[in-house]
Amino acid sequence: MKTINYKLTLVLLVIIPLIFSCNTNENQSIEQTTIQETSIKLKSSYSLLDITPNIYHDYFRQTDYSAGFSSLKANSLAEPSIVRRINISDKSNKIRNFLINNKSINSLTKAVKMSKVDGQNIYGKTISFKIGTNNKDKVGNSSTETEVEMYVPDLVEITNPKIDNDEELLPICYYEDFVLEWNADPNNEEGLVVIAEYFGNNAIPEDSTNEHILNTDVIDIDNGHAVLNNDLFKNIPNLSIVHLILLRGNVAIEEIEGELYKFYAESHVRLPIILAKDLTTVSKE
Amino acid sequence: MPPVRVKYKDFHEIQKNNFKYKEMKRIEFIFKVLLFLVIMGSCEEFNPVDPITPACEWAENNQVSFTNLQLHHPSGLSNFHISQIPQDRIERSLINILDVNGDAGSPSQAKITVNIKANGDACVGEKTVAFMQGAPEVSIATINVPFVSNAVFLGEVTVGIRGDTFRNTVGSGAFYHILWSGSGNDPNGGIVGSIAGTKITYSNRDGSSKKKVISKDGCYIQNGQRVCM
Repeated sequence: MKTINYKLTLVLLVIIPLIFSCNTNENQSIEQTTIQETSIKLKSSYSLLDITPNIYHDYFRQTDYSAGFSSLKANSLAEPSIVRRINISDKSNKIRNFLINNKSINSLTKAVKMSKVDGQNIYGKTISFKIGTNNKDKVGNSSTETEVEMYVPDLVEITNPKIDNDEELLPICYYEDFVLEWNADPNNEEGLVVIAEYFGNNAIPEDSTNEHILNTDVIDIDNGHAVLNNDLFKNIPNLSIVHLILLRGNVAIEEIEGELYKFYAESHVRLPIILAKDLTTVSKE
Repeated sequence: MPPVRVKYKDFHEIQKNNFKYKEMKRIEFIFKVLLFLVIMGSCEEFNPVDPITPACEWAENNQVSFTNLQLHHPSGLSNFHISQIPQDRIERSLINILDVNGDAGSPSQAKITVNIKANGDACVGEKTVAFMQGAPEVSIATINVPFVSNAVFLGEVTVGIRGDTFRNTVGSGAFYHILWSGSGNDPNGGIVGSIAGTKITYSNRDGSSKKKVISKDGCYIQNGQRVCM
């Protein structure tokens, strides 16, 4: 009996602090909703269908410094918006120079929007990041130079479902065996990431919910064609407005003098769709 | 007959050999593991994939702005709707989008949803907030939203704007609303403000019969093919 009591106490001691250590934002948002009905914080839930290690996990790894390129195509008709982001603070005055494609970068803590022409020298090319550092040792100053080269896949575009004009935006798509096609890049060995993101909006406004769902999967081979896993749309209600996001890129994490540097370049495109899970709820004009 | 007393040691042996007892212990173990996972899963900060990644904190507020806001209305609006919007059918105020009331009953279904996503350079996390009619956070071309407080925000903002519901008078379907969707990653702030709206038409609003969405061209996409009804 004593043993049982001891075990019970032990279990309670573990569980109770865990419960109280949880973030209680959810409760706060419910309280806020009651007081102020004009704004709601949505509850987010995430699902990662493929946990096999891949290069994209490194994209979200914490490093001391980072530098890279990100491109967003807000929908199939939008122009890509390319941004160069550098987050290398040089507090110890150690960095002598930082070059991308042998061009010196002066500002080490800045995000800059790039032109489409500049982007052509990044995407579909092998690019280099070069860091030169100065070190003070017993003998005197010494310098090291580290270069990271990586292939950056072409800017990604979705080709099916194809959108040619404004009238075709927001197509109705059936979720099972969803065929997705894009501009293939045979030089990309890292595959792609595909995401279904739901912000709580439904084609029938009354059926909207206050939840945000983000389901993620990996497409292993960049051959321009994939049948998506049905679970990518799990827990997303019928006739929801869903953003399908396709992303590809490359990431390298390098240790330079005991500090981690992340170098990356990625592009992604968003395709807003109306997700049909029940085709009897789709009618013609 | 007096009750048979079993020595504690013997009783324990019998239990140990009992299949049902073993099965119960297994269920108890699974239950404990599940309970632990449920508790951990309910913690917003818990990240089983990469525990070293810092989560963004959202203790500050900042503005999401639109550059030259122009929300274009599509064709197929009702006359009542046309009378409520600017003559050129381009809305330049987010407040107006929320304030324009449809003719399909109240309360207003107009809503602006904002998702702010950090890109992982400084912190990992995101926030989604929805604003309805009368929200003081919404101004003409800006929206005041929760913002990252523990790092420099480097990421993406996605905005979904939905107008109120109107009675449909052009084509089939009883009701419609307009949806605009925009995303931005511009470090200088701002989402490209020229956004084409899409008309979403549907059959009914109540639960009396199956709610149906009306396809603009009578088609949908299945298995990568355009299927027309």
